[in-house]
Amino acid sequence: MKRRSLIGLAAALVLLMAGCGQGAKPEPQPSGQQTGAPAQQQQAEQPGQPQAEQPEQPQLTKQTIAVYYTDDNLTDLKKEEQEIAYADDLDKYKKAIALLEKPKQAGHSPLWKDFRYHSVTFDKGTLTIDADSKNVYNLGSSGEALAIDALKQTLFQFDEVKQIVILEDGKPTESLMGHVDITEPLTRDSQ
Amino acid sequence: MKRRSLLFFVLLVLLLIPGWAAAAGSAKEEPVNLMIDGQAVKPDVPPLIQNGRTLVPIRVIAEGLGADVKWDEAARTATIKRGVHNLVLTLDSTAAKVNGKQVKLDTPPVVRQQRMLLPIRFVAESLGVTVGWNASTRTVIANETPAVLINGKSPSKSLDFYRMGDSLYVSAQAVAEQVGWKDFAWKHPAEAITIDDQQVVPLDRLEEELGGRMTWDKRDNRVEIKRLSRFTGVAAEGDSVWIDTTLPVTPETFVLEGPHRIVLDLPQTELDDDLVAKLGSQKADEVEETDGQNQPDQTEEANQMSPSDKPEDDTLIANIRYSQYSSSPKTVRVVIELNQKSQYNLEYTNDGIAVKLAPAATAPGKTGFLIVVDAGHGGHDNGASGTAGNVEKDFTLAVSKKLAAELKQYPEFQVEMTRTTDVYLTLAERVEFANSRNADLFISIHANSFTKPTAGGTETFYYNANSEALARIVHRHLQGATKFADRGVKQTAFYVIKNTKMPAVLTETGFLSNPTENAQLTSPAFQDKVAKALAAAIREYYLTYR
Repeated sequence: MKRRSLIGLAAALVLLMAGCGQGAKPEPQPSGQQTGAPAQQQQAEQPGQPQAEQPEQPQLTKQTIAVYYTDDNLTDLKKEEQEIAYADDLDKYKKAIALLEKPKQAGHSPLWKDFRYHSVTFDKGTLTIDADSKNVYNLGSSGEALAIDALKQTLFQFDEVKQIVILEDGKPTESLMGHVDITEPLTRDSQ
Repeated sequence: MKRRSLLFFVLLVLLLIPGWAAAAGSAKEEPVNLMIDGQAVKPDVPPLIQNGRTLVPIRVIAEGLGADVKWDEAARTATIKRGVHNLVLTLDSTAAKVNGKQVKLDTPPVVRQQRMLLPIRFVAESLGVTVGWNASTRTVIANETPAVLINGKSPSKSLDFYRMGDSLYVSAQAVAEQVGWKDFAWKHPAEAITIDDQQVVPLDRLEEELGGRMTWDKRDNRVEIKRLSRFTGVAAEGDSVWIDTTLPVTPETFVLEGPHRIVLDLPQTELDDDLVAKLGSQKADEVEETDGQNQPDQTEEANQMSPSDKPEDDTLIANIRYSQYSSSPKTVRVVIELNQKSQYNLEYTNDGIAVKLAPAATAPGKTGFLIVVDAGHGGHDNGASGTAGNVEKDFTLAVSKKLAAELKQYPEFQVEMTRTTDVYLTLAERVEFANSRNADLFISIHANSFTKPTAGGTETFYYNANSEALARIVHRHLQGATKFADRGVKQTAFYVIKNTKMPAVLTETGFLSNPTENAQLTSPAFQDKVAKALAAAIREYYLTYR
């Protein structure tokens, strides 16, 4: 049992080192792996911390962020302020992505629903989301345009995120829902 | 001691500027040289490179460039006057004034060894002096800007002349462009030196490279470039046309229709005297050809180099004409009249230009204004789902087929569909379909969807600037037909309209997720109406913009 989790950890580290996970096979249990690695990182970054603190329970940072939805008529983006509590930056991005499905205000509709991904990674300003190709979106081009825009606006509020790359099952894809071109990384300037 | 610390400082500065560190070693051994009006100048304080700019002592500027310099100790400003130019610089400040206008310097004037050092390029250029940098010898060159005449006219784009010793250097390519030889090719490229990224040669070398006469009157500092090509004749042989000129020039070419013609304008070229005489006598004879033009300097092509016997229909060349199309600047126009649309290729020969003709190979299958109709989704990609269990891919195919049928009524339209059956195509394949056929218009048919049944309306998308006019016309017709809510025309980077080269639109007729709209979208009569509206829109676009 112990041996197994060690292998899992090693695999996670390899994945992290590989950067955007090119060529890496989609891992079956992403959530299990990723809590281990960032916690370790955090410990490594703070060598002066007394050993008494328990690394297993990292302190959560609370932050109010803007999350974007639309209205019932799919007219344009609607902004909401919501609070998230996160362990590290990667966790922050994942929490923000998760909130895209959960508007609080009446009249706000989410543009993302049951969005599953294999991994979210961050390297030198590039946030890479490796989406599951089995996702069903059922949006027309108008909805896809707004959905991508909502994702961009939500993630680009974090200054360190310079561009977003969306993959499908670890591979580049021409479009997520069949309309918007995602062959090039999404940037703040790109439409 | 002091010198040492300066050296240290320079090194430090160089090290601090990224990219300069590597050059620091050589900078130590090779100082910056100055050449002013052709003479090497050695200032008492060596020039300094700061922020990639060379700074030289103020005296160099005053004496070398013949400028009048006043130093105001209290204000710490230097006022430099030279002719009509006036320049005010402040020590350690990037704010400067050129002829009373505020400008910002890249690097401020500084004091070194009790000498004020000024950025030489900025100062010199502000004073109307030409400045260049020879990186291989690390020399800043500054000299009086000469007056230039090219074939009797001022250059259309200013040329930089650099003086080294008693020679004046200039970019061969830049001069070649001004004398009508854009495709200039070096005979002896090795003899050129590089100043400010330009390959420059002295004037006598330039004569060898380009032909013509280049002279420099040193006293008046006036450069005269005389290089006028002479057109001495034209001959047809098979499917080739040989144009003879005394010097190489690069013609401006274009094609005309009705009848098909290829027009070549030879810049900086004049008709040979013999031809002028011949042209005059021919004109007297061939009354029908002159179009009532009888000025000695015709402005339209007039001379008829008519083949003595009637052209056979299987030859490409019907007739060749030429004239002194313009006398200032001198331009000779050659018109090749064709029996049928032809492709052409220019080859440069020792005697001029060979125009090689070939029957125009029309794009495979392309017979007219080619419209590509793209039915969205297909195969395993159903697109969005409708409220009645219908799917988007069926709607898009039905409307696309109807639209193609509507468009085919017009003989000048050629219509191709990316798919005519329920098959899957990648977005890249759809784009390639249209681009490889060199299509003139691309329309992608879609239907919209959202999670809320309330969302509805008609929306039209474009992305590239060449598509906006088309999108507006399509949207007006489409929304007029659906009478759904008007969601407007939007610019969005959808794959198929972003990557196609021709005017391209993507239409979202209505929402399959809206029960009211879906009932219409699934009705064949409504689909007919939509197809007719789209065809009318394309027809309007074609008549307006083509």
